[in-house]
Formats: sequence, structure tokens, C-alpha cells
Amino acid sequence: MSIETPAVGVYATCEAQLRALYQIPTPPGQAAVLELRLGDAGRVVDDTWPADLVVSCRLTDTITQPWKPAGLGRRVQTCEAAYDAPLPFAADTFDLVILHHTLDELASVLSQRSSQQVAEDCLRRVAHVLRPGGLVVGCGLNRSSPRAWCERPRATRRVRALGVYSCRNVLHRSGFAEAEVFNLLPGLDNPRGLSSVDAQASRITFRRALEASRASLGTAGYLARRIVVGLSLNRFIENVLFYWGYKPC
Amino acid sequence: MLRFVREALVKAGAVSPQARLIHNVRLTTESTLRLDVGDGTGSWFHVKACRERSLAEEFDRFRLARERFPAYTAEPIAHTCLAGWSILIARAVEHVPVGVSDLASPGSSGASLRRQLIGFLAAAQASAKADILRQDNETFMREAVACLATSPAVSPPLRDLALSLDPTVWGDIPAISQHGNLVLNNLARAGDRLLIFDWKDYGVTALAGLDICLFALSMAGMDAAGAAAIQRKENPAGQLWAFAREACATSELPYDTFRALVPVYLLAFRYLKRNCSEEIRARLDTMLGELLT
Repeated sequence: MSIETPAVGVYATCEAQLRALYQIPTPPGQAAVLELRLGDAGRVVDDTWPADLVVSCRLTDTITQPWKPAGLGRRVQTCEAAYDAPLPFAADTFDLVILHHTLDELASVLSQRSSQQVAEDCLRRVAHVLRPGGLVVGCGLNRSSPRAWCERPRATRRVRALGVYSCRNVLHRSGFAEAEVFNLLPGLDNPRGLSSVDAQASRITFRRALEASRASLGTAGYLARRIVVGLSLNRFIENVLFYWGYKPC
Repeated sequence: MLRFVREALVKAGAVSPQARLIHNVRLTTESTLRLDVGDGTGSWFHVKACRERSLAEEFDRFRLARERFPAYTAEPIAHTCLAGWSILIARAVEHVPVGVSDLASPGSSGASLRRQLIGFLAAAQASAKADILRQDNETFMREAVACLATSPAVSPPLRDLALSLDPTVWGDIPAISQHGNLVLNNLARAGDRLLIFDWKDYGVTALAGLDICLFALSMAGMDAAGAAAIQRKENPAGQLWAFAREACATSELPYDTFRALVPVYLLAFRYLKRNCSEEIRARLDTMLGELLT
């Protein structure tokens, strides 16, 4: 007789889904992980993250907590680093660096420079502390998305974020290879999947989603959306981009 | 994890080691990751990856289904285990979901989908004659009843129903290997072709009529009211589940017997879903509870 053993949905919560998405591209046997953040608390890693060393580093204008290695352990170690200075870690220290909205938040703070320049400078510093074969993975607002325009900082007129093409270009210019950029679907509150911004891949995802909701749409609404999907425009409309790139070996 | 997916695809001869892969990733609420992987030349593969359980048996069932119903299934390519990940690869077919309105449509497209659905059930019935591996209905139902009657997760009315069932009820039901989860979500169309997905429960039960019941219920709204209506209506003509009468005839199952067996089918489905998420089990328990009161 089979015993009832209900499956525990490992991706049941929003946090678990987000963590799972960040872990998808990670290489096996990761030993050291760094999350760079501007807010008070990290939003992705915690002390259960599967790594030997987990560092949560806050980028700030006034450093009150410099980096002091506390030894290996599963506990999250925290520190602060200056917005624009080299990261306070030795070269080739980390296997994975997580930038959860870090690039657009940093671009908002360093508003005198273009978001692309800010992202490129940050990614070069990240590349320095990554081991060869290591990975940078992150998400940010999509510059071309109307919804991102609504979420832009009040003080600035422009969306301080990267776009579908500039995201991949910046990763390549910063020295990362095998860069991939995605739309995060349906959004940060319920991250259920990634859709590549490659035109064909994007058409597949959004055509399927459109057909699934077809019954609730009028003919005009359906046809308009069909044109948007056919032209692969959804990738420019979705408001969050997810990206990764590997430091070449 | 993506490294393992690439390795599995290369190992299966599906892509070249140098291919630049494109990924679309979906999380399920349970424990599997689903990826559509493109090789950049227009070929796409559907990859299912899981670290919590093996997908080996699911792959075997999928392959068996492909052998029996090639027109209705994608092509399974390989199953492999790498670094704790169980990875199942199939050739992807570009498709769009099928909705109630597609199947109920009076036009030629709806008629074609309905004809193919009946065709699938007829093919299942035809394969039953040579199916020496098919599950014996009595054994399956005995296991189902024993499990549901003793499980603390099952609601008391369901437990009572399981215990009160007369074993002779399923004695005369034809034995035809069932898909086991034939609901709208698992149907799609690729052009005019009807595709059926999710073969992980294929052949677990051979309780003829289960697939018809689940599909009819899925058309009727997947709730107790739908189940009650299917049970109540002697003639389904004009209803969303109108196909059920012809489908039952295809399976050599009298329609009246089918209607009477609806609670048994739902119990069997509840048993098949015993390891699913709490949300799905609770939904089924509610439906059965309402149907019984």
C-alpha cells in the first residue's frame, strides 16, 4: 500500500522561488557568495544559502562596517563598501555575486553618470572579486517598460536602469561571457519564471500566455496583443529584467 | 544546474557541445523546474529537472505513451541523473493551450479537436487488448481505498466513502490504461494537432472512464456542481461534456455506469494525487465532500 506523503513544494513561497531562480545558473560546489545591496538588509541570501561563505555587503557613502573576515561558516557575514571604490575583497574570492536591483539603485544614487556607465563600473569591480568561471546574477527594472517609468525615482525624470539590449552589452563590455538576459515573470512578488529576451524565445512564452487568457479578451484586445507578441515587443514592456554572465576561465 | 542541463542535452546528442543555448524557465509550485531550451537553430527541447525525486519512472511512462499514441505526444529523448538532479528531456513542440471554448466551438476547429480526443480514447482502448502490463482494477482500487481510509490527511466524509464502497462496483469496469490526469491544462494544440502532456501517471490505473470523467469535469468547471451535473444528466447532449457519451461507447463503458461511477473516479483521482501539494488535495477533498452532502 502506498503511504500518503504529500510533497513539500520546495518552490511554494515567493522567497523560495526567487532563490531558486538565482540558483538556476550557479555552478556546482559554490564555495563563496556575495550579495551587494544598497538597502539595510539583503533580499536574496540568508544563512541557509548553500555555500561555505556568504557575505552580504551594503554599498554606502559612509562606511561604518568595514570588511573583517569572520572565518568560514554558514552564517551570513555583513560589511559595507563605498559606492564607487573597489570592493574590499581579494581578487578571485567569490564564485557567485548577486545584484538584486543593485545596478538600478546604484544608478539612482550616482545620478551624475549614465546608468550604463554606473553598471559597467560596478560589474568590473564584481568581475575582479569573482573567480574565473564565477557568475554574476541579478535583476533590475527594464528601462523601456512603461511600468518601470511609473516606478522611477521622483527626483529624476529618467528611469535609471538598463534596457533589454544595453543589459547584455554592459555585461559583455565588463568582461562577462555567456551573458543572458530575461524578463522575470510575472513579477517580483510572484517570480514564477524567466523568459529569454531572444526574439523567438520571447514570442513562444508570450504567445502561450496570450492564448491561455484568450477567453477573457475581446476580439480587438486579442488581435492587438497578437501583434505585440508577433513583433516580440513584450520583452520591452515587462518591467523587470533578470540577467547573468560568467567570468571567463 | 544549467551546466547539467547542457551536459544532459549534449550526452543525448540533442545539441552540439558548442551550441549557444537559449533558456525559458518555469517554476512549478511543487518541486520541478521546467525549461524550454533552444539551440539557436530553431530546435527546442523541453527539459524537466528535479532534485527531490527521480523522474526515471515518469520517463518510462512517457516513452510508453509515445509508443502507443505518437500523434498525441511530444517525443521523449532521454532521462539522466547528474549531481543529484534528475533530468528528463523531450523534443518541444510549439503549441498553444486549449480552452473550453476551443473544444466546445461549433466550428471545424472544435470538431477536429473533439474528433482527435475521441480518437485518443479509441487508441487507448485498442492498445488495452495487447497491454499485458496494465494495472488490475481490483488491486488498484483496494490500494486506493486502504490508503484513503487510513490517511490522516483525508477528510472524514471521504474516508467514510472509501470504506463504504462496494468492491463489486469496479469489478465490471473495463481495464484500459489511463492517462491519469487528463484535464484541460494538459491539452494543447499545435496547429490543428491535439497534444497531450504530463504522462507521469500513465498506466498507474486502468479504471476505464477515469480520463473521460476528469476531462468532462475539467470542461464543466472542476467543482462539485460540475461533478453533480455530470452524474445527474442522463443525456449529455448540449452540455460542455457532450463528448462523454461517445467517449464511453469507445471505451465499451455504458454511459449510465459511467455516471454512477463519478464518485469512484474522483476517489481514484484523489488517490493518484495523494503526494501532490496540500492545495490540490484540499481542493479535491472539498469537491468530493460537497458532492457527498
